[in-house]
Amino acid sequence: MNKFTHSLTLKITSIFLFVITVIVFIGGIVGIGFLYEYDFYVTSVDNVKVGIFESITYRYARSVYWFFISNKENLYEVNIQKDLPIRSTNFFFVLKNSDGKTLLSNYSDQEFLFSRTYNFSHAGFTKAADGSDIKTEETYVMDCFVKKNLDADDDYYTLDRLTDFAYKMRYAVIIITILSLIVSIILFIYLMCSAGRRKGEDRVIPNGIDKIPFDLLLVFVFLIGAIEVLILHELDYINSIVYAITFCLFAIIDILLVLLICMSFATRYKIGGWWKNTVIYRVLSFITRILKKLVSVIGYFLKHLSFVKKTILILFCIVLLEFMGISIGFNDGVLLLFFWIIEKIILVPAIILVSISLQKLKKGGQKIAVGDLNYQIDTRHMFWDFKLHGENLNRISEGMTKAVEERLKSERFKTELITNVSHDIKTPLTSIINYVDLIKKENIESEKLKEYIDVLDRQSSRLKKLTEDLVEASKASTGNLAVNMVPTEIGVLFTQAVGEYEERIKNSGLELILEEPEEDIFIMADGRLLWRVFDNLLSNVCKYAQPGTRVYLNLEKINGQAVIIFRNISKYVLNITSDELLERFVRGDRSRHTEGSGLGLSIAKSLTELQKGNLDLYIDGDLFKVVLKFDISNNHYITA
Amino acid sequence: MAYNVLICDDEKDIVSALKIYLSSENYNTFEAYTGKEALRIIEKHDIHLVLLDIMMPEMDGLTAMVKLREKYNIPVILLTAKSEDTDKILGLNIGADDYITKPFNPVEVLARVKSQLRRYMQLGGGNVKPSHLVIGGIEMDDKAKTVTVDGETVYLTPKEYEILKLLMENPGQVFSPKDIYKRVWNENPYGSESTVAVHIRHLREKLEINPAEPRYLKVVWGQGYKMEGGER
Repeated sequence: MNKFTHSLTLKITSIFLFVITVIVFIGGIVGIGFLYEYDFYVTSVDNVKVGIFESITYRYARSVYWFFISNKENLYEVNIQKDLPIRSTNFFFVLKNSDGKTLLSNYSDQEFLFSRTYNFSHAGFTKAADGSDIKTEETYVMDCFVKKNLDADDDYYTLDRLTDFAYKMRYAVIIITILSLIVSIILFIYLMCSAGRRKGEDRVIPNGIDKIPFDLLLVFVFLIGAIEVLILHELDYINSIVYAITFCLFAIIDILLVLLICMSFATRYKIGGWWKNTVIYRVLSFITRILKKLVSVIGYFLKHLSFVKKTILILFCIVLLEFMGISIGFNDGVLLLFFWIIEKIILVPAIILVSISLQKLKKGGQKIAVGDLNYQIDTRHMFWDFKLHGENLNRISEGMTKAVEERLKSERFKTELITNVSHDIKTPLTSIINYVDLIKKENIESEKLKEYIDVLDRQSSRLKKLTEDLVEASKASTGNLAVNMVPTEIGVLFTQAVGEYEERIKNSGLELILEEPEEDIFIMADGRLLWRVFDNLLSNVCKYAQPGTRVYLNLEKINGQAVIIFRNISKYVLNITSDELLERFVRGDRSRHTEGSGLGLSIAKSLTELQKGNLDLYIDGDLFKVVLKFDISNNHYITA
Repeated sequence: MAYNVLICDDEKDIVSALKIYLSSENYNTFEAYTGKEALRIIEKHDIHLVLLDIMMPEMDGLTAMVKLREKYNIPVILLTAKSEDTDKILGLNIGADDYITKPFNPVEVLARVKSQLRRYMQLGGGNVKPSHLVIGGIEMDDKAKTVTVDGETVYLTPKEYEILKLLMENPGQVFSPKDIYKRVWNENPYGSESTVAVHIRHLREKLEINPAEPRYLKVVWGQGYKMEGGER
């Protein structure tokens, strides 16, 4: 395919052929029109000839008549054979006046093919007696004859031959015309395909003409056409042969020009954006560029105006326009109404848009406030400050989602880190504990040394507890523990707790008082985890309760919830909030020096929450109160 | 007869500390620092008990134990820094007899070693008299009214004995403090169930090596108490 479209010789040949086929086609169409006009397709050749002969005869008759009129005064000098404007010998005539007198004739008696009689009238003036002009009218009759045997070489002879030929060819002409049309169409398509193609190039390459703006090219071609028409108009009066040749030449030029435009268009179309290389497009784009710049300048101005100023400006414009409208339509109610309707048509949608935007922003703000960070406000149909505001809100939620994710990730990381590090701490700690124990068993005389060893022993035990608590705290707070929820009776747990702690509480100089309802109260909990909560809280009590006071452990049923309350009087001044106490590693300042890791409460809270319960701390002076809340379960039996 | 105990841990300090404790109790000790070394020593010598660390280079303790169990039936106590329940369960399931988490109390280690050795050497497969109740290392002679743990006699009060008997007669069954009170005291508790809880704690302290992590007398928090067969 490329071989065909990229060949220059083939292209030139096709252009040449195309011109010929188009000319043939035009000629064919003209010929068909001519043949149709002369009834070639409907009657016999003889009838066609009659029509043609008639027109020739009439022409000849007229020229003879005009010859007669112009030579009326000196007829006697006329030599029929030599002076007549026609050289025909197939044409014979007898010119008579109205009285039947023969005035001029070349008649000779023989066999005729065709005869006609024409009447001519001639208006003239003769001088009257008084010298005035008198209008006279003379009538002449001409009998015309055409010889049957057309032996003279005149128009009759030529056209007779031509008609015979044309009649024979009358269908062939149609076929040739159609064929030339088909060939020219094929050539045209080929030329369009090959336009802009060159040998050895895959791209479409524009030539010099293709770089001229297309509309300029069109104007140029139309100008040439106009010039041609003017030239032809001038030539009309000079010479028919020159005219014909010029006409043909122009036709060829026109065909070539049209082809050129088409090929140039095809090239531009293939390159794409053919409209871009036009004067009109350039002008329009220039205008749009200027308009855009203007709009952007106005937009910039509006954008950097504060919302209030913007509103004032718009309102001012509206008022100004309203005023202008009222001034123009002051006396015309219909015009005023028209202005009013136009204003409302523009204003109402704008106000509705504003209200919709505000509604969307309100909804988005509410969602974000509630904590739905995935909510995104649809800012597509908003404008100006509304859009900006919506986007800002969206960004807030994005930022917060990111922050929350980051926090979860770092929590997980922290748990892992704590677990791994505490594993690594445990091994050396084992050695320390063991060797401290071994030293204790040696016979040590020095009292000081014994004291130091006691410190080592105490502190290493504390370190042990701390590492264990640390792992547990991080696991509990991140929910990294298996929870096995079963119906658990709190009364039994109370009993067990008393059993476990009876001695320690007594040793701490405390009195434990249990208060529980008659009925058994069950909750859904993991007994092991719930015991750890109790364990932590009770060991806190033993450590931090004022000796000689009572410790209350209450179980109540409030609003369908089992409420467990630990109450004791603190040994130390609680100059700290309950929230701070719950935070890991935070204890009342005064208790910093005592045993324990400070994680107990935090672990207890996390474990309670893992079991879908609630742990709250209340500090009232020296009264320290821990309240556990669990939903009461109606299920009293363990189901595997 | 002095028993041969193999101590296997990649921490030399821990191994030597354990060696000192065990030697003071007249055990012969062997040392290994990797799982492979441990297996080699077991092949060569007549080892009676293995203290095996889990996290070790070359071959970890669990793999070593699986290999060891292919040929030997000797008691194995796992030592590890991993304190998660799943780790303990895995260790016990693939053949460990006991499990101690780091940092450990040397006295507890000695007690467990002693207990395991007694059961393995003295009680293993011994025929049980009909009046005897046996759960793990705990043996109760109802005629003589004596209780031994790993062969050593423990002294119980009458109520403690009654409670233990009730639980040992129904191993695995959970008794609430109220049930125990009714069965042992033969009257309704009217709020004195905590007496049972106190007795149970005392019992645990007498029977268990580590009362906070009992092997036999287990606390089912919020439900009651039960006796179980020795696997912790």
